Amino acid sequence: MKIGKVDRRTLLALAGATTAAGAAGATGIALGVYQGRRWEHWAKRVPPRPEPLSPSVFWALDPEGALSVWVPRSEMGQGVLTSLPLLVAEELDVPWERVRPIRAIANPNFGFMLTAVSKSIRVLFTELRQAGARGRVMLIQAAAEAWRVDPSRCTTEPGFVVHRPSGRRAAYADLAEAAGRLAIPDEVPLKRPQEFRLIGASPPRLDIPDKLTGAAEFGADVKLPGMRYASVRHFPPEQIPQLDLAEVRAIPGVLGVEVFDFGLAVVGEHTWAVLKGADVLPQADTDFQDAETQDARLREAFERPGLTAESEPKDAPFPDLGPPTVQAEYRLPYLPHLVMEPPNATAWVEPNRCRIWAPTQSPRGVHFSIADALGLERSQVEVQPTLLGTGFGRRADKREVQQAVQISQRIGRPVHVIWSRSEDIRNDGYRPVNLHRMEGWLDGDRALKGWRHRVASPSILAQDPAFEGLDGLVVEGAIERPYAAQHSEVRWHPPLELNLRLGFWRSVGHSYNAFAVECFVDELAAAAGEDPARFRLARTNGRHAEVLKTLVEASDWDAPLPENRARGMAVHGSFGSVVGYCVEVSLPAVASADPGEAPALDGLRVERVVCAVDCGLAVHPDGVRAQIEGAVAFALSAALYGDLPVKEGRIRPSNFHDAPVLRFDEMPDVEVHISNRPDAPPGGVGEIGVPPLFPALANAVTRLTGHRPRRLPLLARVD
Amino acid sequence: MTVRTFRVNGGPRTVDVPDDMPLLWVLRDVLGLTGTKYGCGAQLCGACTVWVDGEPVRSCGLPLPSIEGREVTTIEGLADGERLHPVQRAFVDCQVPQCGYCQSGQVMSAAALLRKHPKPTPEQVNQAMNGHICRCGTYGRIRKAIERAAET
Repeated sequence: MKIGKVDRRTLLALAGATTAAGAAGATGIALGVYQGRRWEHWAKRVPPRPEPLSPSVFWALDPEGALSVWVPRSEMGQGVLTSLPLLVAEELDVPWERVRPIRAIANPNFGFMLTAVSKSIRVLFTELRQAGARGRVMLIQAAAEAWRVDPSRCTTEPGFVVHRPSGRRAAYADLAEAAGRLAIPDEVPLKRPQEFRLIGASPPRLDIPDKLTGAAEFGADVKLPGMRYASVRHFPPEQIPQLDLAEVRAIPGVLGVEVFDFGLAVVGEHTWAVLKGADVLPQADTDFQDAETQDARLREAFERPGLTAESEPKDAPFPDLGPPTVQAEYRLPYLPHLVMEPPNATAWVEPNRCRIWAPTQSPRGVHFSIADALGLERSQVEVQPTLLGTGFGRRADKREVQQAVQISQRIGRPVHVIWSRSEDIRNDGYRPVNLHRMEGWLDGDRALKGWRHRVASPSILAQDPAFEGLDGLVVEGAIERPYAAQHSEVRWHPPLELNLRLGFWRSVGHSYNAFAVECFVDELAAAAGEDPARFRLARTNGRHAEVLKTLVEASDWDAPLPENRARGMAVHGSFGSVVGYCVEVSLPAVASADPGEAPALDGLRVERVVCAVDCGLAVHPDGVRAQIEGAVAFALSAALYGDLPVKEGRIRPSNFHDAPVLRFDEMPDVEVHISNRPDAPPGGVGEIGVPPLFPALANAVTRLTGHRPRRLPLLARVD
Repeated sequence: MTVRTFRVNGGPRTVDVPDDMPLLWVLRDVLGLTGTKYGCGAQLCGACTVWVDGEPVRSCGLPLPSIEGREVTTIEGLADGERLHPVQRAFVDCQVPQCGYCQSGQVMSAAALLRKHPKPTPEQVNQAMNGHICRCGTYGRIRKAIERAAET
């Protein structure tokens, strides 16, 4: 299977097919019209191949009985090229070996296409199943008409319609054409969970073979005839005249240095020349605030009243409960994404036309913004998402695509733009820095009498000057806690003048609020003299409680450990799912604790992570397992090392030596327990494993050393 | 610019490129073999790993003169025609890749390890794989896949 290559050829071939598509009534090659069932009005394959049965924009059955599914979400490792086609194949009843995913180009026919908020399955679960189920009804109808039998006596087996009384069978391939002539039925019944053949069965991922042979096509792999390469360096415009560009221009293979509003683009014949050229230039002179200044701004924010995100009882002012039983302040740093594939994009701007190939999480966002920027009709802009070498939210950012378009427009050729790793680290949109002030009151019965959480954090959304009011993303995970309190208050304190660019980072606000909330719950448990698991279980119910129970049992929570080991736990609900972790850590030797002093954590190892997940119905359980394993590695990287040191206004780290991430030998054993809830709607999966890992780890370290770390990262970074 | 001749995946190749151009970019931009990936450009992440005379090397830091006349194997040349290399098969069986970007390098190092040590110890596995970053966190499955490939 050649998902990437076929698709790109298709799009290239579309270049010659404009007239045909136009004649077929399309507003353009890339654009169809959203009409009820999303009937497409444009060729999806060029040269056109017969698609005898395609009652939905999302799929087509070809004359050989193979099922093509157009996937309207970006594949960044989370498995949408498998899990979304699976939903169609389940209801249509097509054998798994005959399923072919195709990455959909940006097109309103496909509806919403942003890959974010762990919503791909949640949004498309019913729609894709309905799309498949309609086709199955049509195939049965076609067979019943040919056989002159009652369709209600017919059923399907993968790839076949079967007449139950006679045992007569017909292959989908032979029925497709007749089925394609039938009217598309309205709502049809979907399978009941006990009838599922693929959902819950974890068939092999469809994108894996190509990813092991070098055939998979990422954004960085796009090659076009006459294409130039470019690498950018971001500079404030006023610094550009001072730069000496002669050395860059002298590099063999460099064809020119172009000035843009974002800085400079070194253009050349191959990637090596342009990366080398960009590397010759000095680091831009910036005035980013260092950690001390960031903290001062965040502390100032607490002096202002801020905005209420939650109060219990509703709208009541927080009462004077006297001195809190426990209070604590937590701090989390700015974090870069460190996507594995450096930011890149390819654009080809021609008169009245622009084509884009990009590893983007937002193909339609790119489509609209580029059409507007170029003053083109949307039908004149084509956006082909490639595979993404991880996304983590970074690739909702459109800057590299805009740069590719600007450069291509200027030089009149197709251009591939790639950022160096240092440019990526120093020009990212970062997970926001924040401070959390927590206060908790326990009463005589150890009930939770009061809970107060104040978050000082810059806001991603408020980077848009038009944004007003409460940014819900800042407080997600701080509100809607599973633990009831008589009185509670969550407030957001927006700081002024923090100047680093912000972006969505896997699990967004949950990534920091879960740390504050679940560390503080452990602090309250300690104050109450209770076991952290029992303390939580006594104060929560429903899904969180079930997850906690699974966790206590699966992790042997009460079993003794050697002196140099300890366990910590945390549970957190996000994106429609609930995840609990038990993290087991070790140190070579536990230093005799001086309670006032932070112990050295040299040699800290995360030995084992046990995870309990309630994600409702698990469409692809092995995919869920993989996402949790991956979330553990992602969150451990951040918890142990993640930081963004700034010195004299400049972001220091430049590559993986000074922006370390988790390595192979640091990966703990991860054990995932998924609750089987086939009757529940599916929850999100891609982000849910990140938030509770931070507090579970910190809680484990606290139990091991007797000292609570309240700032991340835990380990000092390489300087 | 100097003309250099070496072998790639069994066939002779001659290229005319600047002398300091690392093998990575010769493979990707000149020869069109894009399975070998750029991740850091500083031999820190392992995504660009290929074999030179059967030894795994970081191609992003390898100037072309040093491979004159030698045999380069990339991910595209690891399988025997349609028959996947046992390490590729084990990676499929264990459903290792997520985004897939680092996997070419991972597979090349794992396959080189098993050539040298058909039954590697966990420490040998750590040593061979520690230079490879995977941001998706497939490390645990890579270890399992290497163990599985070592059994066959």
